Amino acid sequence: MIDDSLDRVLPLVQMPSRYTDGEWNARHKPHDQVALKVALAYPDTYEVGMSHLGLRILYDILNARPDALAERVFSPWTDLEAQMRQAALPLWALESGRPVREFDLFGISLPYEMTFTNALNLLDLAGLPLASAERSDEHPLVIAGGPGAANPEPLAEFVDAFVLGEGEEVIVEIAEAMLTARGKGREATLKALAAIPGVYVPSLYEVAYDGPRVASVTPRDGAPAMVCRRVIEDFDSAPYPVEQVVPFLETVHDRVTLEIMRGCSRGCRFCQAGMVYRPARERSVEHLAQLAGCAVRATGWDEIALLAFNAPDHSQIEALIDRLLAEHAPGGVNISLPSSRTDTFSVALANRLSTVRRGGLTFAPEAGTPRLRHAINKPVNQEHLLAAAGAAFEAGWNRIKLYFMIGLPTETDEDVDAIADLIAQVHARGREILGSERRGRLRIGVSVAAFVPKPHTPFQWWGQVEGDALRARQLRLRERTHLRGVGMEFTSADPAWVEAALSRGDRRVGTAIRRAWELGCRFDAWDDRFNAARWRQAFAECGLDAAFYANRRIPADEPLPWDHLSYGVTREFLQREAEAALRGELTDDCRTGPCTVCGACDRAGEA
Amino acid sequence: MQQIVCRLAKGGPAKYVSHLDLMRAVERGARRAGLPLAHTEGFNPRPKIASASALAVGATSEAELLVIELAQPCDPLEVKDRLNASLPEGLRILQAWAHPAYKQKFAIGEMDIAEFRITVEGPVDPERLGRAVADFLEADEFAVARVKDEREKQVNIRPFVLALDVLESERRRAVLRLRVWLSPTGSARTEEVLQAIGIAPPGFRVAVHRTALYASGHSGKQAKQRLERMLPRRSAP
Repeated sequence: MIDDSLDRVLPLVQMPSRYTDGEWNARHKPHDQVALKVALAYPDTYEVGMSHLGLRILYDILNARPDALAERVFSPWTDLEAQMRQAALPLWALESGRPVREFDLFGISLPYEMTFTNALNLLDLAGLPLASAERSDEHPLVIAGGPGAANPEPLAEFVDAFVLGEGEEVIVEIAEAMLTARGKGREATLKALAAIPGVYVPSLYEVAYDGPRVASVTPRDGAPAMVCRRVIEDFDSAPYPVEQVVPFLETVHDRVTLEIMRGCSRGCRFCQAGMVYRPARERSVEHLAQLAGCAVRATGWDEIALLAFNAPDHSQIEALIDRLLAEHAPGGVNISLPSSRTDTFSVALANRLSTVRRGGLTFAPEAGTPRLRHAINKPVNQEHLLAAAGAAFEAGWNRIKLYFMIGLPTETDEDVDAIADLIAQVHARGREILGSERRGRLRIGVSVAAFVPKPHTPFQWWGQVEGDALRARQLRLRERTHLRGVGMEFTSADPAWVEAALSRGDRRVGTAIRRAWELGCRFDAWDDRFNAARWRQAFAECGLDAAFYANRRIPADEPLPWDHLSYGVTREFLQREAEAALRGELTDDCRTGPCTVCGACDRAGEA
Repeated sequence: MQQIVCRLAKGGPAKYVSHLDLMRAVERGARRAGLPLAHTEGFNPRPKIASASALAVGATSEAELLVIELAQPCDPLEVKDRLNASLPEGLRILQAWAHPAYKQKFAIGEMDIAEFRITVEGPVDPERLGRAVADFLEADEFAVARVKDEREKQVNIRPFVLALDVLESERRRAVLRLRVWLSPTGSARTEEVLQAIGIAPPGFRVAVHRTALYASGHSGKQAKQRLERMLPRRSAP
């Protein structure tokens, strides 16, 4: 919806169709006929947010209810923000054009920590007081969820309630609780929400500190001592959106997204998603084929992306691909596997998909030595990796990507040097197979991320390697890699440091986030927008030692700020895994090996 | 193979959709409509949908031309109805006709004259506006600065303006009709022409609406000769 005030502003900003609504499948429901109005926000640009599956799922579920409506909100780019502030134009929801503050519920998806300042900015642009305690019955309830809420404590001051875990069922329970509590006021509504499993109302918990450390977290007014995340038991029949909104703009994932699997049981010890979305669950081929057909007809997209943590882990992946190719390839619809752990099997799969169009292939060995790959529980065998890369070159790919991580727990210079060796070996294999004719076209893109310790993972106790040391290791690797056709890209140490400080932060870190926002931090996830000096200033002004949060090795017996929040995996399991990492011991994938007794599902200890 | 020529209206929220995005929206609409689209050959087959000159972002139109190639012949009226049921808000096919198969292909690239209706709101002085328009038309040359590749370049837009009329003018509002030539070597942008007659944001609010798009019938060579004739007689005594 574009009203006159918006029409005055849009000609002055870049990419105005981010803000206009009117896309195919956008839902417009009359506000006066619906009891519960929800604004669903994603704290990044339209192109990024429209690619987010969680938002699409919630949008679909809420709009399917006759008593509710959901509309979309994204972060305005800085040019529009300036115009909005100048014209005193409050943040609006796209579909109706109405101000967000007129809604009952303002839901914010938190993809990860670097969107926190954008989340605060959304509250402010909507004209809401930032602090939860300063908001009243006139304001919408602010509820946040998503992977960035794995440790929600840094945002506890600003958000009324957090959803832990998967949203499909709990969103309905929240909607119903809000409808029932209508007119009873904020306090009563929040207490009702706190009674829903998976909903964490931070104002009902008192945090006591022991110097810089958290000493204890005490619930009040009957709030549960431990909030347990939600997980969809029957994933195959969980609601799935087929009438997905089709943007005009080219978004990050501009295609039908088909979630074939959720969760991963491989147990890489640095990976938060692999820990908090357990157990691994699949949708059936029959159901997926049906969803894909409906989605292609309803959207007109010419690509179906099979979404999973690792698509080739789906037990019926070959049957699924055969079925989708048979049904969609004749219509010119491409099938893609955007995220897969590339091995020889997946190269073969990718090769079959490329009958329609050829995408890139990514190999993620993460670490250079077998020792470190064992410590992180990602035992990619060097020979297998070379064989898989070789298979890709033989099948006609000239361009592949390699992902590594630097600063992993127990990493030494030897491990860093081994990354350079591994790159050189893949490069040599590529040149050998491509031969003199294609050799010139060989491109190996190497991405080197910085390790960020994440809550609810076995590596949550380890500190991030301090900035200068991290930069030294990056330099060491760069100096050892001078090969034709190899491009290297490193995550900067500074944003990684902020991410680490926020991810392991307690409630006091919230003041630094607020200060950083006041200093102008926006779009911290964007390299060209991130400003390390402002973040340093923010932490310093708030009297907080960022290194305490980011770089410290936390003793195993110390209470953690997120100890009262459970994502299924138990602290005992994480501790066992941390010890196994030090011994360089592998833990099996429970889908193929014995149960690891992680705590994420009911069948603990069986078989 | 059949060519369906469509005249498309663009308005509402869709007026902010860029040309490239518009083409993608039409392509997806055509897929949803289940039209038997013809595709290009090769490794990365694309539906064969072509358009005439791009419209500026923010402008509305009742005269966007599209040529959609179909693999099997269809009734153009049915194509129009099916597309209209499948296009997003603000995009609407007003007319669709089948280009006769015995003729040469519909040469959408030859659409080189665009006509606009421009509504201006702001501190309009009818007398001054009339004079500014007359002065502009009188002149042989009007140079505007364009930035290309971070370098500023002077462009004479006058030869590309075929007609400029004041249809209505009162104290706060004026309506103009502008006809520009989309020549092989360049054209005049509506905002440049408006700037030439003293109308520019933020003082003025401007709504640009394309009313027609047609072919001059000149071939490329003729067009070039015509452009040379129209260029200012700079060296004349």
